[in-house]
Amino acid sequence: MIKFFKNLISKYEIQNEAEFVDHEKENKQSLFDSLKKNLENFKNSFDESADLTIRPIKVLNTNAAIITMEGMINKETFATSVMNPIVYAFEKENLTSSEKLEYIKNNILTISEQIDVETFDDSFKLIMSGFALLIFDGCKKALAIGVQGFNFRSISEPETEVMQKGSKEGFVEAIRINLTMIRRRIKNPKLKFEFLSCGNTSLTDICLCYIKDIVSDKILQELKKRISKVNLQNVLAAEYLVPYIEEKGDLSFFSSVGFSERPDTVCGKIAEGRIAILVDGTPTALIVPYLFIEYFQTIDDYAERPYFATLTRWLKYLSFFIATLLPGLYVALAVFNPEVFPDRLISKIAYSIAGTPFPLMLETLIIHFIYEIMREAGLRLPRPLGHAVSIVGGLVIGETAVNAGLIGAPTLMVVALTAISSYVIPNLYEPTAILRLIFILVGGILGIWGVMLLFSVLIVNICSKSNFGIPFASPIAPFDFYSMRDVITRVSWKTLSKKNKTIQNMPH
Amino acid sequence: MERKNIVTAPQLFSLFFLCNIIIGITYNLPMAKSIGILDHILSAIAALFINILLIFPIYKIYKINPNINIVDNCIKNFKKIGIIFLIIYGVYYIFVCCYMLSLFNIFVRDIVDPDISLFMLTFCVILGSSYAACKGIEGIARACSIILFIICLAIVFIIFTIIPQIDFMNYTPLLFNGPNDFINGIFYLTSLSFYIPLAATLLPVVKSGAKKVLIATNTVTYILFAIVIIIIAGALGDYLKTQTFQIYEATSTAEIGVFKRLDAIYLGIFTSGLFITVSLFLFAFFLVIKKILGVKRNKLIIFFADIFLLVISLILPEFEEISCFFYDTKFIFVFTFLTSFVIPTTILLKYKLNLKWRND
Repeated sequence: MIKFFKNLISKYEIQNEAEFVDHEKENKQSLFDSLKKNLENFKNSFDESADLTIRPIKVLNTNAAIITMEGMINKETFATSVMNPIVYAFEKENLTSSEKLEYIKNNILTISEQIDVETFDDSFKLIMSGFALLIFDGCKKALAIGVQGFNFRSISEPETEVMQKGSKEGFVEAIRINLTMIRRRIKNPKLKFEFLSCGNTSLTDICLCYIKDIVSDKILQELKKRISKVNLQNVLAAEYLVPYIEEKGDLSFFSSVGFSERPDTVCGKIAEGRIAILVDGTPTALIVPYLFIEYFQTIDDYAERPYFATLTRWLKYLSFFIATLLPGLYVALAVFNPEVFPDRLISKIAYSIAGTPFPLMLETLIIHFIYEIMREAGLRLPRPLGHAVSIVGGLVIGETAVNAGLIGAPTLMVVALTAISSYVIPNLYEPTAILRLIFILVGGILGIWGVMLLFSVLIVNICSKSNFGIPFASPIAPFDFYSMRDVITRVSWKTLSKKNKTIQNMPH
Repeated sequence: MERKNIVTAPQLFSLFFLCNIIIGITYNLPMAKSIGILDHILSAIAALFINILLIFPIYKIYKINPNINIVDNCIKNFKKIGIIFLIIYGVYYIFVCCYMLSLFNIFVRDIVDPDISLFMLTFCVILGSSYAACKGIEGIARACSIILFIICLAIVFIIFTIIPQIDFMNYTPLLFNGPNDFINGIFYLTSLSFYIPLAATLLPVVKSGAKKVLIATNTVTYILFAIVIIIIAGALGDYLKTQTFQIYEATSTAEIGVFKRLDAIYLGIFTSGLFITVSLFLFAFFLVIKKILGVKRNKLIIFFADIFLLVISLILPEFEEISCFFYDTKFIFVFTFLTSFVIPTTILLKYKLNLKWRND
C-alpha cells in the first residue's frame, strides 16, 4: 500500500517536472522578427490584461512599440528620458533595425539601466519589474529601459524591533530600496547581491546578500540548492521560504533561520559571514545560518556601555527562563513540593488555592488562555481599541476574577510576570508561548519530575539542531570559550574587534 | 572505514561523569550490604585503581583501531560467534536502563510517594530518552554538557548548605566494624561502573584525548564520591543507617536562609541525569541491535525496546525475589566485569593471535 502511494507520488512528481520543463521551454522562446507577431504574443501571454500598455510608435522611420506595465513606471522619467529623445531622434540612413536599436541605446537614451533582451521570458520579467520594453520591427532583440517608479511605503522604524540607539531605518516592501539600505552601510565591492526567482506563479524576486570573501562557499551553494527546490506557487512573504531553508526533518519550536527588519542588524550578520535573503514585497530579511544565542542579541547591546549591555543580556536570559518555566515550575512545586517555599509564602499560596474553585493547573491554564486571547485581540484591533482591551483585560477580568474568588492572586501574578518577561525577547514569543503551556500541563501532571524531564528534552532538541552544518546551540554546546565574550558578557568594542569570528568558524 | 569523530573529549567526559553522578546519588547502604558509610571512602579509593585495570583492555582495543567500536570489533575478530558477544552487550545496556529506571521507580514510589502516576512518569522518561537516543550521540553529548553544568552548580549549592550541619562527633574510625563494609563497598562501586562497558561502544566517536577522558572520569568521580560521603556522614551521622537513599535524605534536611528542604533540587538532578543516562545506554543498545538485526528495522527496535523497558521497570519493583536478584551486587559485578574486562580481553587476545598467525 505504502509502495503504491510512493509510486503514485513519484509519478506525479515526474509529471509535474515535465510540465514545468515544457513551461520553461515555452517561456524561453526567442523574440520574433516581426513586430506584429511579438505584440500578439505579448497580448496573448498577458491575456490582454488591463495594466499592460502597448504604445506603437515610429522611431527613426521604423515601426516600433514600447511596452510597459501601468503603475510600475515613473511616468515623468518615461516621458522626458525615453519618449522624448527617441521620438525626436534624427534619422540615420542605411541602418538595419538592429543597428537602429543599438544607435538608440548608445546615442539617444541617457538612462543608465538598459538591458538587451532576446527572449519572451526575460521580457516579461523586466516589464513586470518596471522596465519599459522597446521593440523594433525586423529585429529579434528588444531593449529594456529602467524607468521603475512605483509607490512604496516610506522608510520608517520597524515596530517589531524598536531600539533605543542606532539607526531608525527599517526595511520596506520594495526589494531594491532594501538593497540600497544595505549597500549604504557596507561600502565594500565584495558585498554581492544575487537575484533568484521563486514561486512558479508569482515569480517573486529574492536576493541573496553576502560578502564574497567572508561567506562560506559551502553554505552559499547549499542555500542555493535548497532555494532551487522551493516548489511553491506563490511566495508572498519571506517566511514562506523558511521550511525549505531549514534542515530536513527538523522538528523544533525554535527556528534556525533568523529574521530582521533592520538593515543595520542584517549588515552586522552579513559581516559575520551569514547570508541575508531579501524577498520582494516583504520588509523582513531572512538570515542564515542563525544561532540560538542570537535571539538574545540586539543591536542596542553593541551601542550601550559593556557593563550595562551585559546586565541587559542576563536579564534577557532570565526572562526567557521565566517566560518558559515559571508557570510550570510554580504549578509543579505548589502542588507536589510545597515544602520548598518559605513558610509565609506557602501559606499565602495555600490560602489562594483553597479559595478558588479550580485545580491550580487548570487555573493557570485558564488565565494563560485568557491572556493569549486578549493579546491576540489587542494585536488585531486598531490601537485605541487595543488599549481598551488592555484595560478590560487588566482591570475588569483580572481584578474582578480575583475578588470573586475565581482565580488566585499569586497565580495571576505569576502569569503577569511571565507575560511581561516574554516581551523582553519578542523574537522568541511563539516558542515560549507554546512551551509555557506544555510546561504547565507537564508540571500539573508529573510535578518537578515532568518539568525537569521536559526541560532536558528541550535542551536535547536545541542541541541536536543544526543548519548548514552549524550547530544551533553553538558556541555553548559545542563550547567555545573565546565566543563567551559576546555570550556571557558583552565586552567592549576594543576587545571584540581584536578577532573577527565568522559563522563558519563556530565550533562544530 | 570513515572515522566519525563527532564528540569532543570534554563532551565525552561530561557523558561519563553525569552517568556516574546519577549512579552516585542513588547510592544506598542496603544495596551495598554495608552499615558503615565511612568505610566506603576507602572503597572509593580502591575502586578507583580497580577501574583503571578494568578500563585497560577497552582502551587497548581502542588504541589498536580508534575507528571502530566494540560492536564492529566483535564481528571483525569473531565473525558469527561475535554476535553472541553483541547480544551480551545489548542485554547489558538494556539491563542498565532497566536498573536505573526501576531504581527511580522505587525511589519515587517508596521514598517520595507523590500523588502522580508512576506509569505516566516512567512512560515519559522512556519516551524522552528514546527521542534523545534517536537524535544521536551528538545531541545527547551537547545537551549533557549543559545539564552537567546545571547539576554541578546544584551539587555545589547542596554541599554548601550541608557543610554547616557537620558534627565531628559523627565521624567514627575507619574499618571500625572490620573490613566487610570496605570489601562490600568495593564490590558495590565497581559493579556500578557502568561507564566502562559504555566506553567500549562510545570511545570511537571522540575526536581525541580518550585516555585523558577515562582517567579524568574515574578520578573525579571517586574523589567527588569520597567528598560527598565525608560531608553527609558528618552531617547526618547514625541517622543515615536507617535510610535507603542517603544523599536524598541529606538534601531534604539541608537548609540555608529562606531555602529549606532542598530535596526538590535532588529530584531535578535525578530526573535530568536519569534522562541523559537512559538515553545514552539506549543509544548504545540501538547501535548493538542495529548491528545484529540490520539497519532497516530501526523503528521497530525502538518500539519494542521501549515497551520492554516500560514493562520491566514497572514490574520489577513489585516482585521482591526477582528484584533481589536484579539488584544483587554480585550479579551486577559479574555482568559488569564480563562486559568491561572479559570480552574486551578475549577480543584483544584473538586480535594478537590473528596477528601472530598472519606474521607466521
